[in-house]
Amino acid sequence: MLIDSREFKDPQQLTADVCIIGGGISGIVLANELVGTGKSVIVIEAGGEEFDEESQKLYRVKSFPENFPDPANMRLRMLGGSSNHWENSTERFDPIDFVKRDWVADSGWPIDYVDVAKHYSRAGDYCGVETDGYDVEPWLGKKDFKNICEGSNQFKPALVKSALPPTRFYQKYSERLNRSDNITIVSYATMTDLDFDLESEQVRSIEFESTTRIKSHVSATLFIFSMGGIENPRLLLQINEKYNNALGNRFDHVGRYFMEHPVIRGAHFYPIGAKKIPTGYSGIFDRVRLLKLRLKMVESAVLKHRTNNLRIFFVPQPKTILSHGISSTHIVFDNLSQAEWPDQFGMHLSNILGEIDLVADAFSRKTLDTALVSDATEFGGYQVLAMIEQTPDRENRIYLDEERDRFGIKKVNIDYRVTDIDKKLALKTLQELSIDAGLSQWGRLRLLPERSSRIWGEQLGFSAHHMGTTKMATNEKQGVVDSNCQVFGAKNLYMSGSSVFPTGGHVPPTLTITAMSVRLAETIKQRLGV
Amino acid sequence: MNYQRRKVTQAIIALFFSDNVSAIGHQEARINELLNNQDNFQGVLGECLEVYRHWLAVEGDSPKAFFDALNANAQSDAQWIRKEIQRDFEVNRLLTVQGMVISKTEAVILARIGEGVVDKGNQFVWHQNSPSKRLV
Repeated sequence: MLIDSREFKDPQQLTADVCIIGGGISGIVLANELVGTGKSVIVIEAGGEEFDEESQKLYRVKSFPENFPDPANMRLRMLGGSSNHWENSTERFDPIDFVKRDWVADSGWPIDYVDVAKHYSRAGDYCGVETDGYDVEPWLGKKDFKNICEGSNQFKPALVKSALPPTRFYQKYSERLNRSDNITIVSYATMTDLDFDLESEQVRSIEFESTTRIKSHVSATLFIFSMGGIENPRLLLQINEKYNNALGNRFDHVGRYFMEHPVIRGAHFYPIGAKKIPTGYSGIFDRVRLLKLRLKMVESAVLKHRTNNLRIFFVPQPKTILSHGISSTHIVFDNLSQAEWPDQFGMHLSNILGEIDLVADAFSRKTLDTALVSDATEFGGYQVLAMIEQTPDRENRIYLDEERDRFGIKKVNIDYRVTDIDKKLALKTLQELSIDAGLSQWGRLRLLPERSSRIWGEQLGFSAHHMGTTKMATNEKQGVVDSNCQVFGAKNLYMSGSSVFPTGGHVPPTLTITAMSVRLAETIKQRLGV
Repeated sequence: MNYQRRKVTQAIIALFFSDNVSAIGHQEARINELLNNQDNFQGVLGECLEVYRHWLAVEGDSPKAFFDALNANAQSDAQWIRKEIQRDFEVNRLLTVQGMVISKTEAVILARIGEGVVDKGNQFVWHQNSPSKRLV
């Protein structure tokens, strides 16, 4: 059943066995897993079935770092959450992602790969990419899926699967949820407060407010926060101000270890001769799926080089994009426009003069819409993009501002950086790739370390993957939730979604969010005796 | 307009990965032919000069000795050159020139050509006493 809270005339006192706060991917999966269990479930969702600009505005944060994408645009405040605009790119985490690695600070999950992997098949079904797994071997040799690192003992292809069209979780499951007799979804309902009994360490109820300003309450046996990597800690921090950090924050972990998946453009790849990267790396249509290959480092090489996990993909680009001259022109102009003299001016000047034809062509195309160099837009090579695992960093955090939104919830600030260690490890991996590209005789890599300030500045990409902030740990000295996602110090409160990830891996998190949600649903069912 | 376009790759491809070039030893005429066929002949020479300068900075000596040893082995055997390049990558015998990671065998040949090139500011020309001068 779907209830629009804007239709409430009076405050409501609702009761349920389970109250899920947040109707995004994780919340929808949790609710769907509880359909038909005979246990009543209420899902509180701040948005509605359709995109609503006024609702979306409430995702605005007070501040975030330069070059970091505005979090208000990176997620959607509506039923189905960010699945309403995602690419549906799915891939499994690796076993090594769950392991404590002494060169990756604060790494290691309190659960192992198998605990999550057993739910990947079902998660694949949820994501619309079917249940045939992610082993790449069966695909090699078919449909132009090739291993371009044949002979390499450091890199191998990995399979990425996307559904076409992308799976919108609410659209896909709304009929089943709304027809079920034990699931109630309340839309346009923003959680504003929580009543916690310090003695019994139990949440008694939550308060929510409709956009028409009617305040209501839900009492439940179990509560699950499922609002994403920024809103989960935001609400938990605000609640903890009332309860002296009793809810998972006695050791100041809530909001910390915020992670993303930085994407760097750290190299160019030039295939030798007429060899092109096989089309399997761009994506091949398979029934209702798009299958792509990426390159990844094999586990033994990750261990050998003591590096972070990452995945690499190749984007065909025209000569203009790969031009050092054009890049240097931008750098010089950017610096001069800020009344600063660029570093390594001589090198930039040399680059500009060396490709003065391409620079002039780019200028002419932009200002006069006239081409000077006929082959400037022809294929020139590949841009090498690397999505990297970010080392958990306690100083990367979500914290509350004193300014409040219209529901009285404090806005958040985001502190975020990519550490020098992560930068160094990512470039080291690209160095290894350049060796293997030579070994496999596919081509040569040009590393771009001299562009460091750009690679890690304005050219740095992000993936809208907000992770960490309520991390899973073996005890409350190290994290916010235990291995079952239960908040330390709150016996009936759980966190769901990527906020519990102690490390973020190197692949999009949604498949793992979904698998973890299925896992949490099993915990909830056990606890309720289902 | 293609003066000094920076493409180490193209220089490498031109010299070693075309079926027209069997090796360096007695194949200078074919190298010459290839270089002349490149639309960015000046760019390739510029890159060779860049590799030569890098070689001097890293190795501290002329590439001649290394080149001569290579030349004696290579003669007209293109497969030998390819294997040697492959071996360079296997044993990490590599140079990084302007970010481009290349094998030392590739580098020394480019550097040897670059040794005979003079940067005149607006074009590259062969040095008067360059052994490579006869290539053009």
